[in-house]
Amino acid sequence: MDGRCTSCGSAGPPPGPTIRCPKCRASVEKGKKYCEQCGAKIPTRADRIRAMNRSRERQENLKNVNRGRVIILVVAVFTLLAAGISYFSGMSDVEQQIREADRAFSGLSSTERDERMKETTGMTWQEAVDQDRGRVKLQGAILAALAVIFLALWWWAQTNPFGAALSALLLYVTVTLIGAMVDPASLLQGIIIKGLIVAGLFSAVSAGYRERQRRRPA
Amino acid sequence: MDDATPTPEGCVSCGRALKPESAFCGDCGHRRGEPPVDRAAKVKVRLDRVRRIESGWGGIRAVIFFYVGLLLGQAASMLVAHATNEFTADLGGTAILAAIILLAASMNRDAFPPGRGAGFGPRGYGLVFLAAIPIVLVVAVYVHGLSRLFPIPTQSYLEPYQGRSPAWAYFLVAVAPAFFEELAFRGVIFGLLRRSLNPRETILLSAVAFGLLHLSVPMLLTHVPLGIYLGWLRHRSGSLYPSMVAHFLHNAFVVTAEVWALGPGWLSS
Repeated sequence: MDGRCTSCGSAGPPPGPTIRCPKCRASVEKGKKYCEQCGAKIPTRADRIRAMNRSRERQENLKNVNRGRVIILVVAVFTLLAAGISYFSGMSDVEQQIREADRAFSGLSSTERDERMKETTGMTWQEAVDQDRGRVKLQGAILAALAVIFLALWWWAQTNPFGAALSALLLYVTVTLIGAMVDPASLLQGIIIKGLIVAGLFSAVSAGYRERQRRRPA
Repeated sequence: MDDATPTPEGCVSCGRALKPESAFCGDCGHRRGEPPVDRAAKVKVRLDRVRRIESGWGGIRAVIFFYVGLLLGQAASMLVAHATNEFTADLGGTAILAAIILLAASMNRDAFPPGRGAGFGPRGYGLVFLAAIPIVLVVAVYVHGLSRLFPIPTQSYLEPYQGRSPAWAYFLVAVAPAFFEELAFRGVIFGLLRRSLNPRETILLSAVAFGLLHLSVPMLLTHVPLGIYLGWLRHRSGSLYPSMVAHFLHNAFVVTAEVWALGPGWLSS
């Protein structure tokens, strides 16, 4: 009469249409939101759509984070190439200028040469040569250091994509502006690529932030 | 139904009838036998989390735009230098950056730490003073090493102030940067990042921004660690004053060392 088995007394499945609990597989009356045996939430159609949207959003975030990492690596590689080209071509130009200047001063003693140099540049021959070579070395070293920093950020992005992307974005914008202050025409060179890099890094910052918030406990 | 049939037990959380064999309520998921749950509080916690996440992202975006604003301020000061002279550029640049920083600080209450007291006692400030000495020495050794490695003539900090009172050098190199840069990096940026990041990340990222804004790749190696130290002072003391004092001491020692190296008559010549 009360739905129990007269022989063993067990309650048996609920009357009416039922579904299976996704966690403990017990029978649950249709329309119930939670399993009465284990308390697990019975997903509704709206829950399934929400879960699908969350999964799609997560895929999008991970795609943006990975794209950010790729951008940082590409910038690092190109900066390293620029360092090499700047150093070798700069040094070649400087050595050429030194050879030409040497030819122009041929026949003069080293003291006379230093006096001539001081009249025009305020420096001795050796000081001028060291300065020119030093300028090329410094430029190459700066570009190489930047490449190393971007490579370190690419490596850091494996564990902390948000922090790495934000640092890379600030560094890239700063370096681009320094380049523009030294040579204003350089700002327009490759402006579309620069814009894409900034946009890509900005999305990586946003995606990295949302991923870290998703992983944090509520 | 006869009078002896007991009334089904109701869920203490939502009031719906509970079956005798159920361990949980099928309508709200509440466990039988546990005290009622404050649903309004649960919803509030969830809403607060969403608001915190959105506010945190707003803070990150504000940091990026504020940083770009400071960069453009630096660029504007360099344009002024081209048009006039370096002293006017320093003065004008300081004024432009100060305006940007004060505007940002006025719009962001996170710029000012909750404990607005001195932060440290006399002993703490004594340690800050003592710590400034080895820091300046390390930076000086690094700069000297760079100049030996790359023998390129560089301009003295005091070049724009030649022919003027030394007070200008101290004001524009030591006092103003200590106040405004600390307000910008350990005030505005630190406060905005702290909405969503832990103290370690906040200190590191604000130090990276501080180092980058000095627009010198070689000096990143000194300015980022200095920024970490200043950020740690801000976090430890809960006040901006210790980091302002430390920053002032560092810059003042640099100016004093430069004046001493160039000779007392150099500035007035």
